[in-house]
Amino acid sequence: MRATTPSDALAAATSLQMRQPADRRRGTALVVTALVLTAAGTMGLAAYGTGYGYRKVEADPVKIAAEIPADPKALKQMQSKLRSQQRQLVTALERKAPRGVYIVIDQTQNRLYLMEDEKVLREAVCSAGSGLILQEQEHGKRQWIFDTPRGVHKVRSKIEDPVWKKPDWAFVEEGKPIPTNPEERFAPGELGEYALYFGNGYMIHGTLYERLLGRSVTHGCIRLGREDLREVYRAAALGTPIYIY
Amino acid sequence: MRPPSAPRSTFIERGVRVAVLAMLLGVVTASAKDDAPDARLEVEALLHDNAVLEKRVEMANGKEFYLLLDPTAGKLKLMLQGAVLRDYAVQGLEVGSPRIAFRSRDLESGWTGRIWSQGNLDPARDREREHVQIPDSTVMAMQDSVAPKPKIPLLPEEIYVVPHRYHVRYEGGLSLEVRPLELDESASFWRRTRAATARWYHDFRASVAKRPEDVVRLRLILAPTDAASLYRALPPDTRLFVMPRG
Repeated sequence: MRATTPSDALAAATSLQMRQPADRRRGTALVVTALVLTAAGTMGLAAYGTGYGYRKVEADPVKIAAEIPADPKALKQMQSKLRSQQRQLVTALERKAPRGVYIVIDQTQNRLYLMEDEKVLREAVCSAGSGLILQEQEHGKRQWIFDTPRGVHKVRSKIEDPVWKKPDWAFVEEGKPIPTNPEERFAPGELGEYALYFGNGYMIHGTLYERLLGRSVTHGCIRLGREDLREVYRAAALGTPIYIY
Repeated sequence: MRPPSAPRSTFIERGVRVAVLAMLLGVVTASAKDDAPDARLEVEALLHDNAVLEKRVEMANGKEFYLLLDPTAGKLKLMLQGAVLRDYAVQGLEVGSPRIAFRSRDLESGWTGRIWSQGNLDPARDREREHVQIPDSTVMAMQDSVAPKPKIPLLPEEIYVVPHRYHVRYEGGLSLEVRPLELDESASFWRRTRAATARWYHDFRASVAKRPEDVVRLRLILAPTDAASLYRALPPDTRLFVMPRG
């Protein structure tokens, strides 16, 4: 057994008193650190789980306000009324959709699709409007925007060996004076073998610059390569819808 | 005089007729009773289908371009006045809502079977228009000998850079989030990590906002060429109709 004197005992007690707060402080620091880390981890995890949560698309039937009658006779009447309404709606939808051949033009990506009943018969690289804005400096200071018009159009006329009648902008663009003699406006051979006119001066036609197909270079018309133009001209009749997007 | 057997046979015949009629009546009544639940089901289906058809007719009668998304068939169609302009195969489709700390908000009901309008790309597909001013004809005549070579315009693929993830945002809080099927493997690890972090931060901010950016978000996975094509070609202010699953 260890002999202790009163002075030793006093010294030991003092050192214990001195040590206890330091340990407690250390313990508290550890607890605080653990809490902070836990809080930070939780917040980090919560932040990670914040954003958008995705799940599979489940059944979500349309909410219908109509009441279904319990009486069998009234039920039958409602049934036949709804059937006839459905027939009308289907007919209305079918009437809107194009029948037979139609032309679809993606004017941003310069693609033409010859379609029939939602099937692509032919895909062709074309050229659509450049989107340039031409400003006239002389005379009336007119402005032209070379866009291909989006929307639904129709083949209004089909022309073999078309001759281009150059509009004013063609002369402005070339920096040439606008001729007073209309004969000076005719430029044969520029539009290729065929042209399908779809209104407001716009056409689907051929080009002398086939290497530029696929690029937006035109003044709003659609240019096609020789073979594609032949095929489109052959397949499209007067009135064939042209959808441009 | 009538033979005595005649009334008896008539009586038997009548009896048989009555019995047959009663049986037929019973069969008809029973079948009518059985038909009632079938008729009710058919009426429900007709009401549902007609509601969808009405919306489709409404869109086909409009002048705007529209997207028709059919989750059951896995098709996304770009349409105008009832005509299919482009058809995209949907490789994956999920619906999302803002989520805070792993807890997703309840999905707003009725997001299918409704026409969403004013859909525009985000980031926008902008292209600066080039203004051309041609010097007057006299100056041109003088400069004829030193005319500059016409520059060949860029291809659409060069003009429009398609983001890895983009949205088509509709008025009212629905957005289509379009992603290609494959990751952009050509990008470096750090670039991909940075892009993923930026996306997460964007979604984080969007979901904790008082008014979340998108109340309903449809994540659409397309083939890379289709995703790029849709971005380059989608006209402005499109409408969207998601076919409801019955």
